[in-house]
Amino acid sequence: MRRSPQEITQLLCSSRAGDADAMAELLELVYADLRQLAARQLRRESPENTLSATALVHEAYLRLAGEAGPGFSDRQHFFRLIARAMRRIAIDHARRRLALKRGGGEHRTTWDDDKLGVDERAAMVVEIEQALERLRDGDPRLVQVVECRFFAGLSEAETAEALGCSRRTVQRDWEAARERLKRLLSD
Amino acid sequence: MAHSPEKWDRLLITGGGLLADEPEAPERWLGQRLGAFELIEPIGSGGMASVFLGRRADRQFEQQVAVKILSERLHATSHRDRFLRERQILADLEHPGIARIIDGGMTEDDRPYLVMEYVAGTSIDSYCDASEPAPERRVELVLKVCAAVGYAHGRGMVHLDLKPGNILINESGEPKLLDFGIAAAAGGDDRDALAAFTPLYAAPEQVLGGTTSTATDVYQLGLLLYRLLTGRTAFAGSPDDLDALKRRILDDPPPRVADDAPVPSRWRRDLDAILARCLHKDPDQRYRSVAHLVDDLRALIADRPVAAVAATPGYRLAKWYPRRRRAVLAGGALVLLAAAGGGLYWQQLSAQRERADLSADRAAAASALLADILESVDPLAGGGALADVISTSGFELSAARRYRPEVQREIVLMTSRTLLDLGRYRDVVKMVEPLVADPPAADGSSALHAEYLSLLGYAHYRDGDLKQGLALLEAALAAQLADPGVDPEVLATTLQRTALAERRAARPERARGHLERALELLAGALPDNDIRLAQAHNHFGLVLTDLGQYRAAIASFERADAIYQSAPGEQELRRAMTLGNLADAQRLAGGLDAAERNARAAVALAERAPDNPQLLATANVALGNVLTTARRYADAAEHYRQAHGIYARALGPDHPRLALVAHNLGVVLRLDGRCVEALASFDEAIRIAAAAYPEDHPELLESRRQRALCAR
Repeated sequence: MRRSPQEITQLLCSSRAGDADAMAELLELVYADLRQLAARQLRRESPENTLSATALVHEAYLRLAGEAGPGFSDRQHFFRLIARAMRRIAIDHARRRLALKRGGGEHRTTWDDDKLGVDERAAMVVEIEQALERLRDGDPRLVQVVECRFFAGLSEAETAEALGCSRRTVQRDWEAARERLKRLLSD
Repeated sequence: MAHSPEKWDRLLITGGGLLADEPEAPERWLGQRLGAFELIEPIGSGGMASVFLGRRADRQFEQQVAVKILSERLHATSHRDRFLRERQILADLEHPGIARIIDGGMTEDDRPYLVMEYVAGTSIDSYCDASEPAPERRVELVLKVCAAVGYAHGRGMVHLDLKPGNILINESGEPKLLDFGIAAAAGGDDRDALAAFTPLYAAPEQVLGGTTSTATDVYQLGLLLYRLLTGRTAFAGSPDDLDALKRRILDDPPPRVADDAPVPSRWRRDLDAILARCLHKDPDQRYRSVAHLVDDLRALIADRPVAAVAATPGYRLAKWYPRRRRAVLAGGALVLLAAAGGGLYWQQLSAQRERADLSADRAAAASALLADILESVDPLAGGGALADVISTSGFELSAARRYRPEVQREIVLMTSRTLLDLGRYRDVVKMVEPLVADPPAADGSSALHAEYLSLLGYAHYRDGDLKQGLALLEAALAAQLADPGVDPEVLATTLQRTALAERRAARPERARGHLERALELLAGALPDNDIRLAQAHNHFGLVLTDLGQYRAAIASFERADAIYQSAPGEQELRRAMTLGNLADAQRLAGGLDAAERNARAAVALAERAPDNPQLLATANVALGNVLTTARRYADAAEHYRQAHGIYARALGPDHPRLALVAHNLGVVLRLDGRCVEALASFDEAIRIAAAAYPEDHPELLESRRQRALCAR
């Protein structure tokens, strides 16, 4: 599924112009790339407390931006794309973890000093994902904020850039999204 | 499993679930400065934090510190504020067994850090594995950890991660607890949710994500005890299978001490019971506090009965007479030394208890010696320091129930008599309360239980808690009246105590009935000049005074005084009381000259007892009353003021006795034309009485009436 820089640039342009297919394909591309990055890091580090979402996103940005060539400068579009991909990565990761747990899998954990909360977190992340689906029907903007802040670990400023709004709006939306999610989740 | 909204919020804020935990390269912090401290070298790091050796960067003075940087970021302002608030609480924990928090704050990237006292040492488990101390020493170490934990609990902080790695033994061999309250501080608003803890040392409620509390610390202290005494981890597990470990923590019964564990065999049963109590799955079923665990650990190493073992008579008996070789019997462990300066010191020779080979006879002899010494304590002469000694070692003596009941009774009764004489009512309450906590067993201990109830009720009443006092006294009286074999003197004592309390409750008729019965019992049992008879006459006189039968009251007081004068030993203390009471009755009967003479004699006697200020206060009230009746208001006010000052100092600002004095002071001030001062006095009297008495109590009504007179 490797694409040439020209193809990537083409996809970016089409997706920005509203081409849903181009958008989906690009997402697949970014997602695959992020997964690769994540897998590499997972091998390098212990599986528990490994990836920094932020670092991953920035690395992915550099790679894709590089592949897209010098003509590409649309950070806004890009961050939004990556945030969506990161959401999938996180969910995958959580589901896999839970599956491993059920299957008595093979992951190791740093023993004495580690947290017991990891499995629990994985389950919670999956639940958040499900709640997001319900949130999307009401307010897609809030979902985007959650993708940027929660899944991609973007800062307020970066989120504002990605969503093309003010930091104040990001703050307000993020608060509102958490309120809504909390209510959905703790029912 | 449903989570709380706070828990969800915490996860949302800390970011993308599994992906949020960034591995820390400790090196990146080296050379950096946090607050006044510079980070020099890494000491350790784990999933939750990195620790560095640091020193003051400003070099104002040389100070080595440990700096702990938590790996979790706190993005939300509310969590940051919370952390900084907690930091202050942590900084206030000052205990030799807790590594002190010196400073703390947030790094530039929102990580909380704490600057702590640097402790050079080895972890408590490595220390025990390496230097192989005796089992007693290991328990001592746990006791010291308990002291530090108990201290922090008293200040509202829990640890929640008490594992050997967090307890260092410093160069002088003392344990120091690290990371106190960090779990709580780092846990933000949701202390129990995602806060880090260590699986091997997790309590069931932590595994379940339930509410953590001081009971969680008690559980972990139990694990520590087990680890140090057996060399094993209580719920061991393969590092590959956290779920199996969780299941063991939740389902496996608390481990028993294995046969080959290096602990004395006589400990096994008690140790198993103590561990079972600490490691109960249900937090409510564990030791109620660290102090209770401490009691049992002390009992364990002293071969006394531990509370964790169900108190069967056979077990107690075995503990009290362990093969007749070890001296666990009462008095043998106690020696009262008279030092050169005339001061008296208790010394509890607990080490001797182990070694000495005292027979039961010698123990009894020692307790007789103790009795002699206590009997010879004269509260009129410097009993204050002694009272301190008694009130500290006194309840230690009795509270743990380490003596045979009959010896314990002796000690409790003698000690409490002295303490009551000295006005240390609350000390008596503290001493006796634990003794009546359990209902009486069916083995004949019910008589003793009733006696303790009576003593406790009396102490409450004297301490100003009339309601509680009366309730306990009535319970004691009912039990003793129903007991055909009751000792008449014991019953008479309870009758008199109840009478005094009824009198205070303004029910003199009931009081009179009790006292008539008591006098009857005592007259049949005691010689004519026994001071216990004098006391009963004194009490009877008081009630007759209440009832307005002044002639009869005067006769009772005079009989009491005659006995005191003819009785052996110094009876000044009791004479002073009786003379004060006599003066009051004489005043009411109209004999003002005799009344003033006796009241002044009472004051003079009381002044010779500097350690019993309340007696002096009572005498001053009696004299004030006489002077009021003689219309010498300014003089009377002076004596009431003296009494007021003494009571306020000795009993605190809310004691009912203070209401009485304030009322009397108000009356004479009003009669003397000093209305503004009088109003203040009545207000005080009403405030105290309203809190202490029912709404229709005559003293309260009278204070209100007098105040109204004054306000006009």
